[in-house]
Amino acid sequence: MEKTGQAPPAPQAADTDRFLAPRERLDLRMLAELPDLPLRSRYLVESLINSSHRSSRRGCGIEFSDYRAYQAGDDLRRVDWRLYARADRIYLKRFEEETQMRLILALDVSASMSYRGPRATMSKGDFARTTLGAMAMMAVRQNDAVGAALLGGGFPDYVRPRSSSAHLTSVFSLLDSDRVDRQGSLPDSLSMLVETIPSGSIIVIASDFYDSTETLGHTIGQLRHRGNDVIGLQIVDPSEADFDLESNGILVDLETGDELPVEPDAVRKQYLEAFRAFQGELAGVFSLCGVDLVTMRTDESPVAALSTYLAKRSTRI
Amino acid sequence: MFLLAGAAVALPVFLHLLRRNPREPRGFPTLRFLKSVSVRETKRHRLRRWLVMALRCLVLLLLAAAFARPYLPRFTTDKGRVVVIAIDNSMSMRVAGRWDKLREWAIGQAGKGDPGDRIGLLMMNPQPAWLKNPNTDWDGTLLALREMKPGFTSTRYAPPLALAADILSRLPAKKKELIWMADQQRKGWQGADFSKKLPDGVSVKFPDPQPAPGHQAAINNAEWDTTPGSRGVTVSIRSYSVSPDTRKLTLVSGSRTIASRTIQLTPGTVSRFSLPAKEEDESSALPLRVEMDPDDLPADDVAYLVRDESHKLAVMLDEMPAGKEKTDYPGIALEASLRHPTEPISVGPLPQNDWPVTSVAVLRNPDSFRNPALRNLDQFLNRGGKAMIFLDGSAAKSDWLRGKHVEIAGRDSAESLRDWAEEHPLIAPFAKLSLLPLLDLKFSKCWSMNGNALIPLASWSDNSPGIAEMRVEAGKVLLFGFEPGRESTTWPLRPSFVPFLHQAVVTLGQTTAPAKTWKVGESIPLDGEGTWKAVDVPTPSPDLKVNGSVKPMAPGIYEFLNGSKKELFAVNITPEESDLQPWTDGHPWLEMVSPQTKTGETDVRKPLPPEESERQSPLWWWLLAAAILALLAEMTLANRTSA
Repeated sequence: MEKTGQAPPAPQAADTDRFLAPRERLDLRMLAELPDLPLRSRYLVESLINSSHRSSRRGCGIEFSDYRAYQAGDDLRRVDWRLYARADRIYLKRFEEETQMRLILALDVSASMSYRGPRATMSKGDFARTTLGAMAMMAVRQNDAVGAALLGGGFPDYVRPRSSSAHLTSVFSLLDSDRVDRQGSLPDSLSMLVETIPSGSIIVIASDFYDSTETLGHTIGQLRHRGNDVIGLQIVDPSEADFDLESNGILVDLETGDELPVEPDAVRKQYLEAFRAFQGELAGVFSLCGVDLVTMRTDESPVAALSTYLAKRSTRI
Repeated sequence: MFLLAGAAVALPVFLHLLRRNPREPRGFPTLRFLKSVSVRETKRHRLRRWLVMALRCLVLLLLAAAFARPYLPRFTTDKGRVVVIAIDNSMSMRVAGRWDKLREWAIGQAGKGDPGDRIGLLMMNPQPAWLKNPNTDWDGTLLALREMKPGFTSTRYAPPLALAADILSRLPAKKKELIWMADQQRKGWQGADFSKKLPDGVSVKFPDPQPAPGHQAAINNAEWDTTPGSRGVTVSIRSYSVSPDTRKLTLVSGSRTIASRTIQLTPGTVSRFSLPAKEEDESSALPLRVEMDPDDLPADDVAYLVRDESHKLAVMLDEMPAGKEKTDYPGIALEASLRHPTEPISVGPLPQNDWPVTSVAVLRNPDSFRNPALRNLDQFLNRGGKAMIFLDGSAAKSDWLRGKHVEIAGRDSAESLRDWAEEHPLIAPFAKLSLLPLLDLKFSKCWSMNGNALIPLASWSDNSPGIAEMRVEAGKVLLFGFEPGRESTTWPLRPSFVPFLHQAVVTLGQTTAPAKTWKVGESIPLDGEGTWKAVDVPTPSPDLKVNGSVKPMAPGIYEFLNGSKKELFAVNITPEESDLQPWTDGHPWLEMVSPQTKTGETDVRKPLPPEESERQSPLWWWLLAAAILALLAEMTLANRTSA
């Protein structure tokens, strides 16, 4: 998976080991065949957590701080019985309480996100929904507040961030919307969202970012200016990244409807040069704003994106 | 044929068209990365694909053209000189002085060759054949001509003239000369089509016709006299002389003159003369030669003969032995064979002395095995004579046979003959029809034979030979283990008796069968593989290993040796070659030469034969090289276009 833009704040080594999951554990085909977004998200989260060899309960939002001698009235569940067995003294584990964070999951619902190439198991939009859903599930488990927004033409659909498990249903419901906007621009929609969301949030934007990079940079700058952390997830289909279409044909722009007869063999080299130039330009804009940009291919595991989110969260605690 | 493979160009065209038109529209997230380059690159790419298709078509066309082996027409280089001397090596060239004269004329016409000039020798007879292919060894070729001698065959001029001119016309040279070394014999030009033109560019130098010699006669034929009561050789002689001629005619056997006489020849006529011979000369196995005083063409003044073809088989029958038997069954049966339509047998008594080896002796009487007859018998067999001997248990016969390592033993019981040797020439004719008449014969009084030299033809019940064949010195003996009378056997009264005796005589007599008289150049069929040896020939000839046939090119007596079998052949010249009259009706052969080339030189550029043009202009090679280059270009371009 290609990772562009400014490197995220380096997580601790132990954190990195914990978050990086072996990709072979995640079956993308099975993931795509799961019937709804909550299930897919849960499967993705479980894959991530299992891969770290940790109990889902032990790592869920509570970090160890130090020991304290037992006092009467203390909760016996917090006694470290292993230490008692070794030292013959009763100590309690003390944990550092976390500060609750707000996570805003922004999904681009422009027409280009509905593309699914021949090698991908799901469309770019579905891939983004699954990834954002998994993030939402992880956040709720960590007692973070989760909100969601659909970015497209006009004012974005928006669900305010809350930390209850019941609220997760609303988030999934919004993300799983079949809304597809053929008109409108992501920066405009994102500018409208800036005024709505509380400052100090982590905003994850899943999109292909096929817009003006200059305008996009300006909008992200606004988000950063309000004290938000932003993670950009650029979702790319393998056919876009490699331009390996097999036969000649007429290509139709999914957003504008423009048609263009194309011989892939003839223009592949020039396409890839232009595509990489755009990638570099986009990475430059995000880097300039101090924002992480993760490029995700829909034929590869989204675990890296989740890892990036967790690493970002850890720096915020 | 290979050009048809050019139709394969339809394949790349089809493939090109197959990928030409875009298919149905397909959605794509954005065209922002394509719009600036798509049109430009697609046009360029399409041009490359057209180029690839054109290159593929070109490769296929070039390959098809290369395998068709085209060539550019080439013309003669108009350099140098090529000379072919066509040599009339027929017998007519043996006229005294004629060969040397014409040979020197031909060498003079050929002149000296410059470096690069070529010269060849073409023999006209019996079929046109190269003695020397056209080559640059001018002196060596002329030396080969000087060492050559004329043959004994007859000649035909038209085929070698056409062949030589045709070959010359195909050779690249400025001057193409055919030197016609021939005596212009009338017989040689007979049947020639003088209206048929020779190829352009070939000049022919003809000598003047050679005049007929004034003293010429030829032995056309020599054969044994078949007139009843006559004994000798009849010779046919044709005189070509302009005046009456007196000659001496001689019949020679080896170095011994058998007969000689003086003859008068009348110009332009065929005369027949007889040369008497004694019986022993006629029956001799030695070959004979008829000679005439040599004239201007000595080669046709000799004829060879081996034996008279019409010579009858003869039997020498001894006297009937004294006894109870009153009827001479063998004599009656053999005399009946005189009336045989194809192989009559003459029967006579045993001569007092010198039994002729060409006759078959039939011996029944024990007195024939006592002196003085016994000496004749031994001499007869030593000289290759053949005899049939009927056993009767007499001491004289038994003693004689014992001397030949054959034991005779009488048999007590009545017998029949069985185990007939079906492959033997004596039995085979009967076996072909039915052996039943021979198996049904009864022998009440019979004798068995025992000896390693015996070849059984039929056996008694104890497998001892009842009829057998054996070699005695140079001769051959057929032994019968019974007496030919009713006292001993029922056979004389059976229908098979006469044909059996006749076949026995024929089988024995055929071993000295006369040879046919053959002509020079004829193919003589031979019995299997063997050695062909010249016995009496005018020019030395080495022995040849032959198989099945031989074609002698010189007259004479030849011997074919096949194991123990020996066969003589007389080969004579063809009579028409002795007519030495030249062509007298002008020089029509000059009309055959193209008017452009009568001067012997031409500046007309003539196209070379296709094979030579192809050799000189290997266009196919360049086409193949171009195909390879086009293929490399196609591979390079195709890799860049994925076409």
